[in-house]
Amino acid sequence: MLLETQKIVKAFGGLMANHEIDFHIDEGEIVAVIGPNGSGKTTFYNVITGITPATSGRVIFRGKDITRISPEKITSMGMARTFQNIRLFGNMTVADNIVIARHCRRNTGLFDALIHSGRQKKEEAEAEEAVRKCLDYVGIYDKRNWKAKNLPYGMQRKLEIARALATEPSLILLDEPAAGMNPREKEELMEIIRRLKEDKYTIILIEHAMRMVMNIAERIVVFDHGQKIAEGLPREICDNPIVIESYLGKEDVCHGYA
Amino acid sequence: MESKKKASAHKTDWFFGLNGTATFFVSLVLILVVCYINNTIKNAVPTYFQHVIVNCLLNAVLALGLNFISGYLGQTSLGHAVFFGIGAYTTACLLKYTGLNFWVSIPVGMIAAALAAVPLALSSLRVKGQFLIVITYAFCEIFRYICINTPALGGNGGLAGIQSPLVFGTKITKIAATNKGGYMILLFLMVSAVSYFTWRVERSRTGYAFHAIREDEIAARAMGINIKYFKVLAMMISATICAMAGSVQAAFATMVSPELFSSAKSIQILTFVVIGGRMSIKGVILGAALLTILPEFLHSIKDMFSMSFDPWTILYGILLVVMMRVRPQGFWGKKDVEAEEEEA
Repeated sequence: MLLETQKIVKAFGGLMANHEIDFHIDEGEIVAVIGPNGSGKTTFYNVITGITPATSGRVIFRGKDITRISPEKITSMGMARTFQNIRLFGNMTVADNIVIARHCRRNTGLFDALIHSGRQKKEEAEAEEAVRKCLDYVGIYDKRNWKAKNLPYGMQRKLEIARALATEPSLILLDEPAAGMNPREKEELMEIIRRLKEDKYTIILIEHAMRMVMNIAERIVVFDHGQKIAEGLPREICDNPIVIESYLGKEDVCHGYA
Repeated sequence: MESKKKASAHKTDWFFGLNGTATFFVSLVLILVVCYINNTIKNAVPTYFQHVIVNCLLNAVLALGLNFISGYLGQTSLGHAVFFGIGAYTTACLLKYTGLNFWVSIPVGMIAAALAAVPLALSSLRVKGQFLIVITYAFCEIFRYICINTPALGGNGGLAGIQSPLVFGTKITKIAATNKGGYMILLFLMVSAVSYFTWRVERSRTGYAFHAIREDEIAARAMGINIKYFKVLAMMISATICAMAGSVQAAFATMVSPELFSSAKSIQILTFVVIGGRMSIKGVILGAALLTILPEFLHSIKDMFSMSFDPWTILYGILLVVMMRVRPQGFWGKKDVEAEEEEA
């Protein structure tokens, strides 16, 4: 098991944003987390990545308890995420965004920088290589000299994924990567996620686009009001009356995809 | 050399197409020529002009120091005079009470300022904007009052009679006829060294971390950047650079006073950076030079038109407003800061 949460509780004052959530994901798996807006999906991400530590419960990543570990350490342990409300380094170039993400894999200090040591040169070459590899992966290498904030919306989402890849993660948390994308971009995104799976990345995916979720998720977890209300294969989730009641609605949104 | 060129591609164009290294040598030659003329022909370069040049260079060091906080880290500090003052007072005390060498007092002052930077950085970790301004301002005021109220530090009058430093057994004031030449060369080398350091750091892992923190703290943490560490580090770098200028100031003026900690000085340093162009090494140096020369020039207007009052502050204020209106990103700043400002 790559990641496991045990009875995660996250309370903001009296509000239970997450209530006793048990979750697990195996190496190489793609799990989708779905649920209505405000059901605690992003909070769940923030708890796992350490940005807002859990009120109680435990998060175990690669056999280590990371509940109280700082987000920067968790990133260097091999967990990367993208943000629902895009959080790129907007005034930096696309390439620089990738170089920044290399931070946790570099260890040169001020002195190396000052004398431009061999280590520094090696890291710079590695960073250059990472820029090429990661941007090629999502197909925006030709935009590497653009300011990140000037990229079209869909490409910004792709850059978020590329930036997550640059931290050399084993687990990637995608937070609504398809939001605001047009159908063609969604298609390309699905292609990227499939490729990630082929390359043995483990992925947790928050997404509202049911077509995409049904297509690529191997397992689906459903949140509502901060609680996990269902879990299962895509087909099972489609037929689950509780899920239909709280999220999917009466319309048949997923048959034909799953 | 090849790789160096590639790395500096983003900043090759300094003056008239010269790169940083060439600019350094050309300026060095210029300064040496000025000193030489000075020594051979009496009063070829008026002492007053030399004084202004020294001040330009001194302010450039300060601006480069603040650039780490207000440029790369994108935070406003209205208390950077505190590090300037700490450097100056450290040198003054060491020279006066222990008879230590001036050159040894510089690193001691730098260390003192770096230590003082830690509590300031830690107390301002979670704040930015107005709150940070208040904290930094208050921090500077604390030191001002400590100096005013400590008899050993000279109280209100400060410490006077600081010996001028020696270079190879010669007093620095005796290098050139009008006692400014030595300081000009010394400060020029300081500006160059700090510029080189900044240029190297800008594209290093540390520099990228500063950039990331400025752009988005949460995303920076998600990239594995320890915000606390790098914020403290930036403040320490900034403090050491400003303290360096302070040490020279103490020797140059042969005295220190609590006025070094004045908020006017802090505001002045911030103006250099903002007007010159944040995050541009060339920008902050020229910003410092421009805003040091400008008031001197404006002073002369009074005599030029034989006015009954000195209009320099009025004109200075108007010019600053116009400059910010025309080029909000600073005179030599990068254009994109402008767009960011418009969005905000």
